[in-house]
Formats: sequence, structure tokens, C-alpha cells
Amino acid sequence: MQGSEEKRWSYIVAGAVIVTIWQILAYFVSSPALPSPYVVLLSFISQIDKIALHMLISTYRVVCSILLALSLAVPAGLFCYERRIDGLIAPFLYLLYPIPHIVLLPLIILLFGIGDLSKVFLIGMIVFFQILMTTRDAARNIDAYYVYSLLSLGASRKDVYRHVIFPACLPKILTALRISVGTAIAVLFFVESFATTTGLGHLIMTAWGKVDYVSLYAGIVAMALLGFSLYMVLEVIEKRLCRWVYQ
Amino acid sequence: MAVLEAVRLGMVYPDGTRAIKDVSFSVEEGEGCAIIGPSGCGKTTLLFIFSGLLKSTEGKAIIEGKEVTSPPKNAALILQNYGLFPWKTVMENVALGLEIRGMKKRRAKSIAKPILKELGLEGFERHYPRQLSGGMQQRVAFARALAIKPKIMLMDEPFSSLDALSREKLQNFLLELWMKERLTMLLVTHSIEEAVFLSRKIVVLSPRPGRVVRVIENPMAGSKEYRNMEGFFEKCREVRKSVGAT
Repeated sequence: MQGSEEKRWSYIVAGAVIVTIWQILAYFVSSPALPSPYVVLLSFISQIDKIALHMLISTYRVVCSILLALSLAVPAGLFCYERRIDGLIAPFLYLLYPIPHIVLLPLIILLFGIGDLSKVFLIGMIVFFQILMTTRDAARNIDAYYVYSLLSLGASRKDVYRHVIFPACLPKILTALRISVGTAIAVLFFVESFATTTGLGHLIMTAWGKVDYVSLYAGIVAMALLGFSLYMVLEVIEKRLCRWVYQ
Repeated sequence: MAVLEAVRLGMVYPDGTRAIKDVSFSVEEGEGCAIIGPSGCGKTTLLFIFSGLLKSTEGKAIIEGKEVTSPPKNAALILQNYGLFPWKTVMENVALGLEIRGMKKRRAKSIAKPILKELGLEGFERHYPRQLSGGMQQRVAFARALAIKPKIMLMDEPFSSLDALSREKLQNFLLELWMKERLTMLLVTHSIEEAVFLSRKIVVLSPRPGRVVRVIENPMAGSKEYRNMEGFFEKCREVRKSVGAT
């Protein structure tokens, strides 16, 4: 447990360094566009009710999107272990992956309206491809000897997925998830920046419109906190599920 | 009665490579048989056919009178790189074979426990394979094979990635196991000394495509002292000659 204690301190130190640099920059730039962290903190606390509500809605959207993408991309990627299935999926993946999916936003809004569904769909779609790509690569690179070893014990196809393919790919899946969190939050800001009155993206855009820079920064801090907490959750999950990697 | 039988086995891979040709031999119940030959002679192919992991393109592999079409239930396979799963603990690895055969996890572990103890792995149940030395990992692989109470052991160069000392120790261990349990063993190896020390029958294969060059009887095998006896060195010379003559 000494390691986690050390880690906690390193996070605190890094946080302090960032805030210090921010403070120094704010002092020298001395513009309303870059308020000092202290002022932002006060504003953040005074609006905590409002920010918490919007943050909750944003969290809900991001988490739904990631779960949706995960539940579809992981099975599809794992099945690519079988060359036959990979042969079916790979061409679609190669044609559809390089498209900047964000440009489909107008289409998605036409189809699903301007509610949460279209937001979740767009974020989910973008993240889906990231997770699928990584999971597929991991599944295709599994050493055949693991599978032989399991089959020689009399394993069925289901056993192979359960005891070899899934656990072997899990660390890569979690890495893909971590990358996806960053992407998901970036896309979240984009989809929340118009046609909605909720979410952190909306909060930031309104503050910007009202030239209320302090609230703008409070919104940015909230978004950073959202990303950071999702990272932390993933870290805990990874430590628990992939203990063998860390021993 | 022959427990293992190769009947004119041949294998051509889909890319046209011929691995083995016209390989025939048989192994009696409780007998240890080594397959030896230069690398790339199709030794592993042969073993994989007996494990039911590969289907031969010609001939038949027979275990206890039945043609092998899927992994045989009473045979355990031990691979060169141990075949352990890094994401499972020692205990989980050893209990896995039983679990796959439909046993409840709890019961599988209660069977695995004494086997681990016997192999000197007590206290390492919750370790992961990569935390263990090569020799210990190989013992875990043996424990997993033994847990399913096999009558036949199929081994693919099981000691080749170990250092000389651990190798000798595990060879002694395997010999004792064989003498105690009277398992039928099929051992693929490229080490002449290992073949002569462990098996009463030595099948020498030619370079690719592998064919049986000679079957050498080695009735003296079966004691730990054999390693230091004059007969052992003589037998090694005899095998070396056959391998070299190919």
C-alpha cells in the first residue's frame, strides 16, 4: 500500500504545480480572460449547485455513450480472433474508421432529434471505433499456443473466449477505454455546445456568450474534474481486473 | 496392448509444406517413447495430431483403439513454453482442466491442492506464473496435467527453455512420476540425452519431411542412476549416429 500512498502525493504535487503555473500566468497576463485560480475557485463554490447538476447530466451522457460503445465494440473485436469473422468485419472497419464521424452530427440530429439520444449516439459511435480497433488488434495477436493449451484440456469455443481471448485482451480494452474517455469528453463539449440547455458544454458556452470569464473557467474546471474522476474509476477497475499485469 | 499408434501418418499444411510423411510407430501401455529429430522435422506436428489439435492429411493417429479426432480426455499435453495462462494464478491454472471438464471450482481446487503440495509449489497458489522461475512454471504445467489424472502424457520439448540444473531435476521428477504412475508417455525432444534418459523407445525422425529413420529400443531407461552408467553413454552414441546419419 506504500505505492498508492506515494502515488497520491505525486498527484497532489502535480496538481499544486499546475495551479501555481496558472497563478503565475494569471499574474503576468493580467487580463480578465485569465482569472486567477483563487477567483475561479470562489466562483466554483458559489455556483456549486448549478455546476453539480450540469456535471451530473454530462456524466450521464458520457457514461451511457461509453457503455453503449463498449457493449458492442468488445464482443465484435473479440470475435475478430477468428479469421473468418475478422474477414467480414475488417473491410467495414477500414472503410468506416477513417471518416471523421463528428461530421455526421447533422444527420444524427435529423434521425434522433436534439435530445440525449443523438448526443449519446454520436459520442458512442466515435468511441465505438476506437475500442473496436484496439480490441480487434489485441484479439488477432493472441499467441496461438494459449489456445492450443486450453483446447488440449478439452475446452469448447465458449471456454476459449472465457479463459483466453477475453482475459488476454482485457488490458488492451482498458487502455482503449482510457483513451476513449478523453475523446468522449471532447465530443461531449461539442455536442453540448448548441441546441441544449443542460450539460457542462452548455454552461461553458453561455458563460462565454455573457463574457463571464470566471464562470467559464469554473465550467472548464468541472469538465476537467469529470475527466479525472472517470480516469480514476478506470484505474481502480484495471487494478482489480488485471492484477496479473501489475504483479 | 498399444495405447498410442501412428499409422502411416502424413501431414501437408495448407501452404503446401509437407511436415511428416508415412510415420508409423506404436507405444505400449506404460511405456515411455521419445521422438527425436532435427528441428523442423515435424516432431511438434506429430504431437499436435495426437493431441487432437491438428488433423493429419494422411493416415491415422490412434489412442486406445480410437482414431483421434478431438483432444482425448485421458491425455494431458505439456508444451515447450509451459502453456500457462499469465492472467490466472497458479491455483487457477492447475484447477482449470478440471473446471473445463465440468467440475465446480471449489472441488477442482481441493483436488489441485495436494498435487501442488507434492510438486513443491505449496505457498505459491496465489502467485501468477510470471512471478515464478522457469522450473517452477514447468512444475505448475505438470501439476495442471496431473490434476486431470491422465493415463497418457504428451510432451513437446517440455524442458528446453530451462537451465541445465533445473532441467536435470525435472527430468528426474518426470522419471519418478513415470515409474510411480506407469503413465504412457510420448515425449518430443531434440536432446539426445533427454530421450535416452527418459524413454525406453526412441523414434528417430529424418529432416523435413519427417520420416521414421529408426526405432531404437532402450530397455535400460527407468532409473536415475542410468545417467551415469556406461550403457547410457553408449546408447547416446547410438542415437547420435542415427540422428547424424539422416
